Amino acid sequence: MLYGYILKFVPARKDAEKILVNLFAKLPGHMEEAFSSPLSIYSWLQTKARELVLIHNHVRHENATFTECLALLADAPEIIRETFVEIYLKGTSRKEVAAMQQSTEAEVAKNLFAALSIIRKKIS
Amino acid sequence: MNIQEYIDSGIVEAYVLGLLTEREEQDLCRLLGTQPLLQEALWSVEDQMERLAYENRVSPPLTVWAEIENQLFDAAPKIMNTTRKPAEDVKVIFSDGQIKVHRYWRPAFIAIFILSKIFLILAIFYYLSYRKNQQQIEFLQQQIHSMEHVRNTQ
Repeated sequence: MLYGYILKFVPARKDAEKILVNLFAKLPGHMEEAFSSPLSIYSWLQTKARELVLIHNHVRHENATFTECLALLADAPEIIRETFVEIYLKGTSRKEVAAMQQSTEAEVAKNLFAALSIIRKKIS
Repeated sequence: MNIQEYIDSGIVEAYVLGLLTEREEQDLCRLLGTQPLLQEALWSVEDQMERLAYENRVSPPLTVWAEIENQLFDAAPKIMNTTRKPAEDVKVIFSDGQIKVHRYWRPAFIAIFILSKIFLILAIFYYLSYRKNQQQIEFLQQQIHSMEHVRNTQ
């Protein structure tokens, strides 16, 4: 499941495999964090996988291609789509997005949560 | 705070995807302990995300699992606070249907195998000796009976 998730961000299979290995290799040092988190183990692993993916994409100057997520936001306003892409797929901070969109961090957070709310409604 | 509005805002999804700031995360974790509705929403979102991931699952090549195993078991002795030497640790690794055990088990298995063969040979030897002795006893008893019979007839 995690490999499939990583492939959504990193289409090159070899790179995705390296990220998966790296994720599990770092696991013993983060056991306490994983078990103390209110998140399920899978969700926790997924957030860690995304962090590694963003580092990989940042180093390689590559962008994620999570087409399924973007398709779910096809009807959403452009500002909501852009906020989601910048934060979730590119790992841009809210502050940077706010500067880019000439708005406030609170507005960016609102747009991000709106995007996630739309995705949730579509998948449920 | 209206908890339903808080849930509908999309904050739970953001938490599951790791998109909250530290402060937002702390607030949400604090509320999780007191708001059962929020906890239910979290489980529901996690369930949906996991279902979605399962539907789009891709199996990694077997070499990836072998690599993960290598990395994990190489890292394990450094992390575990143990007074035993690494050589004394009994490793049981399951991979590709094969079981690898510690190297000390090999001579132990060989010794057990050789001992079992020795005991088997001894058991056969003693059984054959017992059979032979029984036959000799029967033969001797027959001889005694025949001698007694001859004596009685005389």
